[in-house]
Amino acid sequence: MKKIKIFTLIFLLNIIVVFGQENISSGKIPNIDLKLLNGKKTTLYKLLKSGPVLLDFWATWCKPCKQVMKHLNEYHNEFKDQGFKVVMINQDTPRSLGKVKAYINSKGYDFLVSIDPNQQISKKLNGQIMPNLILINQDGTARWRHQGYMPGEEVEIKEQIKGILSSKK
Amino acid sequence: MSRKIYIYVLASFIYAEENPFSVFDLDFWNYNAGIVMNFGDSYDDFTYMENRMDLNFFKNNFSAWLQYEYSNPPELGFPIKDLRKYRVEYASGPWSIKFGDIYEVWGRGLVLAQLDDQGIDFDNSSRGYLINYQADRISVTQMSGETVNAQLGSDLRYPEFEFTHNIDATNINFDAYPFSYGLSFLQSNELHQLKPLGVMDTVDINHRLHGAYISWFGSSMDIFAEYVDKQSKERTFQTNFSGQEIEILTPLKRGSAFYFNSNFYLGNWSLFFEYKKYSFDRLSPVDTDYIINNYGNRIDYQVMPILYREQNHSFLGRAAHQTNANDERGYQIELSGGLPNGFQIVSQYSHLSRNDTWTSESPIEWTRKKISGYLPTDNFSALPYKEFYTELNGYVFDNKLQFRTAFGTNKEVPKINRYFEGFSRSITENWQYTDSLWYGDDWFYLDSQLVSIDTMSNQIETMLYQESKSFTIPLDFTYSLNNGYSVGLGFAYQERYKENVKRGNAGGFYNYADSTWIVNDINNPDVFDNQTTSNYPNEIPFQINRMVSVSVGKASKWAITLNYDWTNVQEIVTTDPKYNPLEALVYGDIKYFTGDREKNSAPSFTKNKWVALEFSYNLSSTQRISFLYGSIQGGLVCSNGICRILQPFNDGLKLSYSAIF
Repeated sequence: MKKIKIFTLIFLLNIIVVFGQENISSGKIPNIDLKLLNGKKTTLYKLLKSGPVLLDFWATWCKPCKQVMKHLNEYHNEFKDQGFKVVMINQDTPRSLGKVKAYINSKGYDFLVSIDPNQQISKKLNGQIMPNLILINQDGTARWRHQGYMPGEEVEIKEQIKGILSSKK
Repeated sequence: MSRKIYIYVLASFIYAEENPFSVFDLDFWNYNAGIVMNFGDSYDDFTYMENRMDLNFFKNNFSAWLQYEYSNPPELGFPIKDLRKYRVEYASGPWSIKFGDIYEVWGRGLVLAQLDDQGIDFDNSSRGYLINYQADRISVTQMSGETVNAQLGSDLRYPEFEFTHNIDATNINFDAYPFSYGLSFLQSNELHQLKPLGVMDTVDINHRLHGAYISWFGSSMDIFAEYVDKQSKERTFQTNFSGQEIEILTPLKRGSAFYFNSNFYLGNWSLFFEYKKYSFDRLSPVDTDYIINNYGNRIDYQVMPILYREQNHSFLGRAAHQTNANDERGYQIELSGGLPNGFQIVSQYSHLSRNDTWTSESPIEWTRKKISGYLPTDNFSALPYKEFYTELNGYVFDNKLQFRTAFGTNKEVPKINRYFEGFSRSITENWQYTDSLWYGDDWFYLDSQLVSIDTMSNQIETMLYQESKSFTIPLDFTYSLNNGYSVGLGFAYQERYKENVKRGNAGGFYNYADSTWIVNDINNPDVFDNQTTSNYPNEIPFQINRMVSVSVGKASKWAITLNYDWTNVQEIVTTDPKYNPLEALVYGDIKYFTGDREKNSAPSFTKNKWVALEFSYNLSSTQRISFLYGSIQGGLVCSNGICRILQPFNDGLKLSYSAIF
């Protein structure tokens, strides 16, 4: 019973803290080094020069991550002319890292894929719960975050992308 | 703790250019945070409370990460009510420096891969520093630190062993696109615990690893290869005449590992191939990968490719192979490609085995014979593992229905108790007695003594090993409605067994497990020894597992899932302590609600069945809460090649909450 009370107390405190933060931008996202699947390297800020970026954390064993990827690839292609990019950050460990490129190729996905086997990027951006989407303004600030995926949520994702692109104009 | 705070505050003050105290103002920083809370309480005393808060601070070239944990007790591992992880980083030009908990991955992890997997209580980060110099093409990393790895013993939740490593490691990476080369060196001084915690019985070991890797990226294929050489020495200390302590290194073990991966691409089709040969310590089949008393071999920093499919279905995970990173070779092939209408097909095959075949000279003495060539073998004494998996997934009905149909099968020899093949003797003993008497229902012989022993030559072949097989069919369907609602249906069917296989020419009194074969001394044929083996390993009779899950959800709002898991026979027999209302509802048992049913003992029709209902609700796009009520079957859970037996969760409540901001 004591543990339930402590859990409830901590939970309520979190709700207060997090709801209190709801309208506050979580600030600027740090510039992160991205190692791409084709062996090349880039940084988040370099990608932001041409337009907003949607980051998403995923792994080959994550079922909802794979469900949302289909939609993210569509949005990447639909809005790429406006400078928008989707960057998928893979969290597979070295034990299964070799399969990442084969999976992406077989699906015919066009978005950028970066590998993060030691979860360095995921820890910096709190992306441990997957999928985990971060929509980033061109100035490097996070505009919208979302964790998890349920079918139908792709509609909201698209609305957020449209919103960030319209505010860019 | 105070040292950590000093580092943090010092770095903050140094960085603050105008007002040193502005570092205490949140507006000074860019920051983000994440909270994960898990609570569980069940009738079989599986109670846990695990809370973690991650905080990240950034300002130009400076960043810091703090993770506070309040877990008393956690689901797995020791209770923590402290700052669990921290790291401060500073980057300037080509230089970067990190203090605190370091996570690095070099190559594919044959030398170093540091990960944090709370699902299986695995964390091999090192607490220390890292310095990196990165120019256009070259990157040099030097790191040093300490790691304490906990290891579970007989208890399913609390570790009983600790291995402490002090490491120094260097990596040089050179990029010349499309090529990339790397050289790695790691030295660790390990304090290896031999007895459960609280008992001081340790051994000092020095490990040295030298590794190299290369990768090449082409338009239609890519290649990666890595090799590591590892040697370990036992460290002892002696005091010389002048009172100085001298370190003495005695060679312990030497091994190596090789890994190769290649992908071929043709349109939307990919052919994936990987090969491994890990040979750090060739332990006999009865020793398997038990690391407490077999030290000096692979260390926990080496998290290497497993070469079998990492499954995301609980049934397939339960039947997964437990990798032997010290002694295993094999390959994996996977063909995946896009079909018309957006369908995707994946077919995978994996074959692994030990590097040697083994025969038992006696129950504890085994001899090995190297497998010729580079490929794995089917010989049962090399503990082979074979796996085949195929999957078809895609969308139909105007992308409304998403489906996945799969078929997975595997076959393995997980244990071998006896394999003797060759010339041996059996014994006939002659007894003499002076008198006998009839008492009760039997004869009693007085003053009996052994007067002669006759031996007979035999050509012997006796084998006792365990074989496991399984096949699994998981099916998943999710139908999306126009108004944001979705309905999901999952079904899985699995047949599985583990049986003891007895082969050979032993029979009658001379059975396969408790064999009394008279074993020759190879060096002295006139001397023989009478040996018996251990008992048969535990079998799992023909097991049929079924699972059904039904879910309904509203996008961005809520989801409710009912999970029903049942089997005909349990691998680890557990008792359901209570009959809960969810079970009564699912079984349509009116008596429960009218008060005519005993609630403190589960009725027989609930035996071997687990029912759970989960409700999850998105408080906002960054906050999620879920409640689970019911029972979850325990058993083997595998993640990334590491398997742990989790204790069952019966008639309880789980709460979890996660937030990012």
